[in-house]
Amino acid sequence: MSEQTPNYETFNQKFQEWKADQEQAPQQPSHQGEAKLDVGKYLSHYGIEYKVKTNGEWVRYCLSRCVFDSSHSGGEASIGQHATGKLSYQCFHNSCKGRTWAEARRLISGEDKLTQFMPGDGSRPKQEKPKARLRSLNDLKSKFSGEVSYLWKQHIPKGMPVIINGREGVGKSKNCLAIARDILLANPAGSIIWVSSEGFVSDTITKAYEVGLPMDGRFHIAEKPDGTYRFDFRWKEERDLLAGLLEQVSERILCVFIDSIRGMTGGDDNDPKTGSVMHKLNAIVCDRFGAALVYLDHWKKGKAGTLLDKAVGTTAKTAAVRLVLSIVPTSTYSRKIKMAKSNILPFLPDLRSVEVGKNIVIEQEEEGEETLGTKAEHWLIGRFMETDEVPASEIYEEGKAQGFKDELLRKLKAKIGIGHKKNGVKSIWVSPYRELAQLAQWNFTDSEIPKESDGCKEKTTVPNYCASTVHQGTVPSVPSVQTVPEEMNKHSNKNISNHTTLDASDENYLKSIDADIDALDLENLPKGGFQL
Amino acid sequence: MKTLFDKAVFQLFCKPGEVIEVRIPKVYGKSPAWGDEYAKGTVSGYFDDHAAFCKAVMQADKALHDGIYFTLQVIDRRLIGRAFNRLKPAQHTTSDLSVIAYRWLPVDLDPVRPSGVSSSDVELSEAMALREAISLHVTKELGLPHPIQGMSGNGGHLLFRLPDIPVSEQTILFVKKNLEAIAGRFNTNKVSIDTTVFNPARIWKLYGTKSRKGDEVPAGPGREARPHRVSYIDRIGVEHV
Repeated sequence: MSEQTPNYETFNQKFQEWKADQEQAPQQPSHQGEAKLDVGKYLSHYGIEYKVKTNGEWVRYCLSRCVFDSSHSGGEASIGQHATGKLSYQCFHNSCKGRTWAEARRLISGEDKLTQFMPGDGSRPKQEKPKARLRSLNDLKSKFSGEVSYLWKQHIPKGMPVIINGREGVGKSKNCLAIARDILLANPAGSIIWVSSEGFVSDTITKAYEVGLPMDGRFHIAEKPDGTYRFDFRWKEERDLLAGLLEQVSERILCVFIDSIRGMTGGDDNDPKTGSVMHKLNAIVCDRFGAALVYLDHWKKGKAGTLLDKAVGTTAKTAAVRLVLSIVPTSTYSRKIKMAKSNILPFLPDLRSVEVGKNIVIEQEEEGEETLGTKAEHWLIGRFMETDEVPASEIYEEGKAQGFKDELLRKLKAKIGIGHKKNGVKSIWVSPYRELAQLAQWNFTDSEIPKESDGCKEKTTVPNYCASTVHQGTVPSVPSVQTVPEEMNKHSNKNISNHTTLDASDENYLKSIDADIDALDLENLPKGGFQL
Repeated sequence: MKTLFDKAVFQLFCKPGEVIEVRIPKVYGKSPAWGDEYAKGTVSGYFDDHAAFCKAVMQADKALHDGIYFTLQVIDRRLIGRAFNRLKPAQHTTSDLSVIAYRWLPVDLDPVRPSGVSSSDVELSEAMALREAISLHVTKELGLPHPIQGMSGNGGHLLFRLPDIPVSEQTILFVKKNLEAIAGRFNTNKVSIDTTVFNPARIWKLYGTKSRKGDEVPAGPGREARPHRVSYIDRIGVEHV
């Protein structure tokens, strides 16, 4: 058997590349700063005989005699130096058990300085500590735009943390991969990082292929130095690893997905520290790198009130994000993505996620596809914008004609806040927008503004909300009821039909009304101040 | 099957003019293999002569021991002065500083099992089966020739021939990092790749000798056989032939 000369061209090239990378990489600081003790020089200086042995990353200086007990001879005592510079003392005798390098050093060299046995002058280079800074809003404007913009529909805001949760098996990972695909397709530049803290990387990769993630190298899966993928972000080292990974990405990071919160925190859903871990990650991903951060999370077992209540474990989790979206199954192949909580917008349209073959398509429900409940809600709001009081029987009848059941209308009555009163045996529903509707009746032209000469003796300051919400013209001084001339009633009554008809189908208008209603302090309105 | 008792195989590890150390740890008592000297601990010897090597090792294999090992990499040939073509109770063994060059990238596949016991046939076959995937990966990724594939007695071995890289801190790190990368990629819950075999003076199971880890256990009701096996080389890369 004679050995041929194998071709090592590829190997040599790879080895040289590796060496070059090593030389360029920042040197790991030694245990005692940059300066590493030359143990051989040190021992020789103090006349101690030794022999050198290496064992992996340790170099052992075997002493001819133990410094604590000279009868321990024959290489039984040694000083060890790790590759990082760390020093240790070891003697195999029980009487020397627990002896340390510091003790040995005091015996060998007393209080002498060790710097003379270190390369250079032995001094540790002074490293300037990074300092915290104060930044003005203008400074930060380039990093944070100052207004909310969205990475994906209105559901994932840029640079903010979001939770997407649902029961196991509902398709959280696959839906999130579909979201990642949509983000990458919508943004020709930028990367997405996926952290598989639950493991199952092969499953993630299979699903990534199924949803058609662009294979242009912009979707990255975080891998640990040991070749595994499960990051446990309770540990600083692992968070630092993530920060290091994000630094490696040359282009802008659009979003980081973490699958899942349970995986990244060791599995204890109720651990209150989870929120703290999430805040630390938010600081790294959202604040430092300006990327959106999507956590995948689980629902708990059993029934719960709202979607937000369904989130498993500590409330610190949902408090640590700006938006919580829930994936709710509607059929075997379709899901709804609903807002469970938002600190950004009061309302988000539901999204429909449909499995088409192995792929997933997520789209916003079109207006025409609004549910019966939404339709009924809009109709009821519109109805009570027009009228103050309507007999319940009339509402039921009109609703029936529109296809709404009595029970649905009763539920919506409670939701919208429609009041009710009795008139004999008759039940009357009372508009919650009564005062607002009356305010809306005011729409004066300048010439119609009442003047003192018109008999307005008393001036009342118009509350700000009137100016900002309903009035189209210049805001008049609001007279008290007693001083309003009769003519004014005529004007305003005349204007009701022309100017204050509220179009219930105009969603934007309704939304602004809703917002204004919330802002109104109805209890403290001047009593009768707006009656005409 | 090939062993180091085959001269051609021996010369893959110890070229003419080179020296290898044979080491037998954890021995106790006298044996003609080490000149009837009383040994307590390690027995060691340095060889450059194949016939003397075979004679000493075969005799030692009959003595009570856990396993017989040899130095894998290229060592300082002057060390032969410590025990010239014979075994004897060791005063000195080869240290990392006495290794001149890395010749092999060793991959040791151990079945996951309690320490101090031999592997069962099923466990062994798991380790042996994993060798092929690692072999393909390393030859492709590192551009190394096809490896020598062996059986250590309890697990699988792969030895990838390197171009005699001089030992330095950098090359030690290179070997270590590669082993860690292989382990990270191929470790399973049944087979573990030993990442501690990176150091230059690492000793390796001497092919042709018996591994005697723990007691030999015969098969029985609800019990797998855990035999002592003779290590061997079952495939040698075409580049070595």
